[in-house]
Amino acid sequence: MDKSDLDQCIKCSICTAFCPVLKATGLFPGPKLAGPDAERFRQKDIAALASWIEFCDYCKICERVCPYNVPIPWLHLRSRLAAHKQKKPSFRDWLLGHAYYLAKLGKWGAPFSNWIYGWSFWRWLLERGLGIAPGIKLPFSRGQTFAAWFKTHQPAPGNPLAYFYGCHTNYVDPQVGRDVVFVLEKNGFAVFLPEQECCALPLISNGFADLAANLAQKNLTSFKKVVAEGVEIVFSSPSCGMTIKEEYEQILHISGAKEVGENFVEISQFLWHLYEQGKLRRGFKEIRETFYYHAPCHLRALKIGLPALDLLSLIPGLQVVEIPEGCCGLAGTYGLKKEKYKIANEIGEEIFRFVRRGRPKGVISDCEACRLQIERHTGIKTYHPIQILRQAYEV
Amino acid sequence: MFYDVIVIGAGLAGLMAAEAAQRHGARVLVLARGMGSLPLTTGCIDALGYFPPASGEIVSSPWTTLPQLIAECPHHPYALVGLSKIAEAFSYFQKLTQKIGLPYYGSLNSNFLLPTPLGTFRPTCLVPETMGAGDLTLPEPVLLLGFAGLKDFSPYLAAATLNQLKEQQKIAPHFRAEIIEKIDGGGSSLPIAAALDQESFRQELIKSIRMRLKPAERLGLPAVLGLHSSAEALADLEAQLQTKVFEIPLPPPSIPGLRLQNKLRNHLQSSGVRLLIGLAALLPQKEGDHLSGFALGNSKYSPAYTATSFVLATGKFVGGGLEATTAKIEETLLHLPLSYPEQRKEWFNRNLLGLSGQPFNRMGIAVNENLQPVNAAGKVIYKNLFAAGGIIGHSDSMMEKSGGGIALATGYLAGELAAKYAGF
Repeated sequence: MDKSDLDQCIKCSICTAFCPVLKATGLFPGPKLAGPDAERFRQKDIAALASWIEFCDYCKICERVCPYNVPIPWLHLRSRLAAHKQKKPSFRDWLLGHAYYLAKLGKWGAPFSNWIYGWSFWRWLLERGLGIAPGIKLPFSRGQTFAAWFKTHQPAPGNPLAYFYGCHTNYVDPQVGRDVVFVLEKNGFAVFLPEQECCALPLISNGFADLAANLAQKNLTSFKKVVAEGVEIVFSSPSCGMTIKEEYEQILHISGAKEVGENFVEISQFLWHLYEQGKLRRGFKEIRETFYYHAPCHLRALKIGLPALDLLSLIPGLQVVEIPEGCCGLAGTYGLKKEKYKIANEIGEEIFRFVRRGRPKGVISDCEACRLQIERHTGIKTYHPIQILRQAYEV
Repeated sequence: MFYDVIVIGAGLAGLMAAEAAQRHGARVLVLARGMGSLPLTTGCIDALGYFPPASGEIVSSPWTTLPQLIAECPHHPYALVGLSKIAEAFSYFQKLTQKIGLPYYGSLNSNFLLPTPLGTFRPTCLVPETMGAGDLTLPEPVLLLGFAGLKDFSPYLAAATLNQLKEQQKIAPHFRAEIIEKIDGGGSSLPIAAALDQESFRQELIKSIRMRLKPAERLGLPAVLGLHSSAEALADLEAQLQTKVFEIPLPPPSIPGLRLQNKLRNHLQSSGVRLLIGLAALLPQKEGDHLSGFALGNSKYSPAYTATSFVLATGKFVGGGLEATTAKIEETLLHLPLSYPEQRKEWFNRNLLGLSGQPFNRMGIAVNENLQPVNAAGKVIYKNLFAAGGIIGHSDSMMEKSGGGIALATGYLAGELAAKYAGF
C-alpha cells in the first residue's frame, strides 16, 4: 500500500460531492470517508471493515473528479477483498461472481436454462433465497455463442489483430462481436480470437480475489504470446479492458500485467487512431437520425477521451447528443442485488429521465451493463457504437 | 481532434471562458484534471468584500470601491480587465443564469451581508434566489432549523454567535434555533438536498416546520433546498409556510456550488462544448512561441487535441495549477515563470487567519492586459495562450473576498480573446 496515495488527499470533498451512491442513499458515507479517511484505520488494523464499504458501486467517478487523482476506488476494493479473506462472500455473491461459469454451462442447455429462468417459482426462490432483485431479466445464452460463430466464420486476409470479446458478447449479445469483426475486416484486419477467459471483474467485485488471479494469469499467458508477435489486442467492453489494463496490476498484483495491458486498445480509440493516420475506410452512408450517447463510467475511467463520439461524427447526417455525465447505476452485478436494486435505479434516474424526455431513435453506449440498464428503464433500444458504424458501412 | 479553443480547467473561470468563447461561435473543448472547485464554494459570486484586505473593512458597494482598488493595485486582475469589462461579465452571468434556470440577484452596486454556518457574516455580491432572504440588514427575526446528525451545521452555534453580533449592533435580526429530529441524511447534506427535489418529501418537511415557526419569523435552513429543483423547493416552502425562506451554504460539498456547476456544465454541453473531466495527464505540444495542443498520454493511441488558442484556468494550489515543494513553487502544466520570495518562510504567515492574509494566496503567473502570460521582462510567452481565474497572481482573493468575481471577469475576457484569436 503506497502511503503517498493517502497523503495526496487534501480533504476537499469534491469526491463526496459527485459520488452517485451517496446522493442516492444515506447508507454510504461517501468516497472520502470510506476511502482515504478509513484507510488510515485499516492500515493500523483497527476497524478493518464496515458493512457500508459494500455500497461503493466502483464507478470511479470519485477518482476522476479528485484534483489529485487519489485512487479512492482501489482503496475501497482492496479493503473489501482483504475483508473477504476472513468472511467468505454469500452464495448469492458466489453466483453472481461466477456468472461466466454458469454461462458456460448454460451454453450447453441454453433453451433449457432460459425456460427454467423464466419459470416464476424458480425466480421466487432466487429472490427469496439469494437476494437477487425482483423483476430483473438475467439473460443466459440463446443459441450460438460468439466464439462458436467465429469458428464457422471465414477468416479475412489482412493485418492480424486480436479481439478480446468478453463474456457478455460471447454469451448474451454475440451480435456486437459479429459487428466488431465486420468493421475490422472492412478496414483490412485479419481478426483472430486468442485464448481468453472472463476478465474476472465480477469475481473481483464479489470478493473472489484468488479465483480472479487464476483467470488473470491464464489470460495474461495467452495475451503475452500475442503481444510477443507484435500484434495488438482490441476490446469492445470498457469494463473488461479496464480490468485487464489496470486492475490486474493494481488489485490482483500480477507483475507484468501493465506491460501487456499497454497493447490493449479500446475499439473506438483504435479506429479513431486509424482515421487520424488517414487509414480508416470511409464511404459511410448517411444516417439521418438522432441518437443519444451515454459514456460509461469505466470508459471515462480509462481516460482516453470519448473516441466513440469522435468516430460517430464521421457518419453524415447522424446527430449524436451526449447525455449529461453520470452513472447508470447497474454497475455490473451491483444493481442485480436486492439490497442495492433501488439504489441503482435511483442513481441512474437522471439519465433515464433525460432519455425518456428526448425519445431518441436509440441510445449508444460502449458498456453492456449501461445498455441493459438504460434500455430496461426507458424502453429505447441501445447499441454499441460499432453497431452504428456497421450500419453506416453497409450498402 | 481539432478545436478552435481549448480551455484547461473546469472551475468557474474555465466554464466562463468556455461560455464566452462558444457564444461567439468557436468550437470549444474543456479539459480538466478534476471537476473544478465550484462545489467548494458558497455558490455566490463575491465581487469585492473587504478593501483594503488587511483592514477588515466591509465594502458596501463594489462598484464604488473598485476604482480605488484598480488605482492602488495596477497588477490586480480587476485592473487588467477594467471596470467596464467587469460590469459586462457580471451582467452576462446574470442573463445566462436566468436563462438556464438558476437566476442570481444583486448587482455590483451593493453587497449583501449573509450569515455563515458558524454565525459570522460574509459580504457577497450576486446570490441565488435561495439565499437573498437571509440578508442580515433586514430586521425580521429568524428561526434557524437544523437536521439531527447533519454535520457542519449547528443552528444553536450559529444563532448564539449571530445574536452576539446583534447585541453589538452589527446585524439587524434576532435568531432562534431548533433541530428537526426525524430526517436522516447519514450526516451529509447531499441526500437531504436530493430528497427535497421530491414534492412528497417536501410535504413531510413542511409539516415538521410549520408547527415550529412563529408568526413574522423568517426561516433559515442549511443549504438543502433541492439539488436540481431549488426554484420549486423554495417556492413550495415559501407558499405553504407563508414566510421568507433562505438557506446557508455549508462546507463542501456545497449544494449551491454544485447546482451552479451542474447548470453551467449542462448548458455548455447542450451548446456543443465538449467536456473531458478527470484526466491523469496532459502533455503540452508546442512549436516555439505557439501552443499547438495537448496529448492525454505518451502512448501512440493517446488522443491528442489541437486548437488555435488556449485558456489556462487551472487555479492555485487546491486544483493543482500551482504546486509547492520545499524548494520551489511551479506552475504545473506549462511551467510558466512565477515570481515568489526565495525564502520559503516568506511564503506563509504563521498567523493562519490573520488579517494580513497568506502570501501564497497572492501567488500566480503574471499576465498583461490581454490576459496573456508574460515573463519577468513583460514578454508574451505563447502568442495563443490566455489565462483566467486563480492561476493569475497579484490578488489575495481570500482576504478580499473577490474570488468569484475575478473568475467571472477574467474567464469572460479570456474566452472572448481566445475566440477572437481563433477568428470569431
